[in-house]
Amino acid sequence: MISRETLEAWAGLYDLSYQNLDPFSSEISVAKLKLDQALPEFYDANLPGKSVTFSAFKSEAIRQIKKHLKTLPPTV
Amino acid sequence: MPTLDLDLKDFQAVAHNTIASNQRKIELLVGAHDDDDDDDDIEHFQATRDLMLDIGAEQLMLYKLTVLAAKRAETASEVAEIWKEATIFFDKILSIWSTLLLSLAEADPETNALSDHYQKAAARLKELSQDNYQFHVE
Repeated sequence: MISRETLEAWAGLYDLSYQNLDPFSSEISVAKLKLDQALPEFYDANLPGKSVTFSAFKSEAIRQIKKHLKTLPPTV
Repeated sequence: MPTLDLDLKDFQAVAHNTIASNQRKIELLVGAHDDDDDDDDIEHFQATRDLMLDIGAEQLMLYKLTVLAAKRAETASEVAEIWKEATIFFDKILSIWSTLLLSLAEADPETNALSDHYQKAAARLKELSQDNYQFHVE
């Protein structure tokens, strides 16, 4: 179960990394690194039995992040 | 408020038309150039610079459209598909720049600087699209 706080933090990083309209923004690389680190860390810490694969976990995390972002006021 | 409803097929159509139209413009530009006419040289360089500015603007516009389409997609695999198409598009755009440079063997320094700038930008957009594809692909 991903907490609301964690989801919000990931959504912010995802928005900067993968939904940034400015491709030359300096924020992109930093946010990408943080998200790339956060997802495996969460997976290792919270899904020790590996009942789901990392790929399936990441896909579900992206779905939840996108769902969360759609609840926010549109920026474009 | 109207929203942009852009799906993968729309994106593919825009990308395809952009590539085809610029290839045609380069062919016309090269075909119309007379090496022995100095006045024609000036017009040729001006037309080339205009075309470079257009392609530079179009490649950035396509990147932004990709972001918008990816934002509206629901699943990671849909997003991955969109970024895969973008990677293919930017690969073709890089070929367009190479073709354009080959047709400009004796370009002036300003034109060379412009093409260098936009070619690097296209390479960066391709790299980002590939990264974004890799992140979303299952």
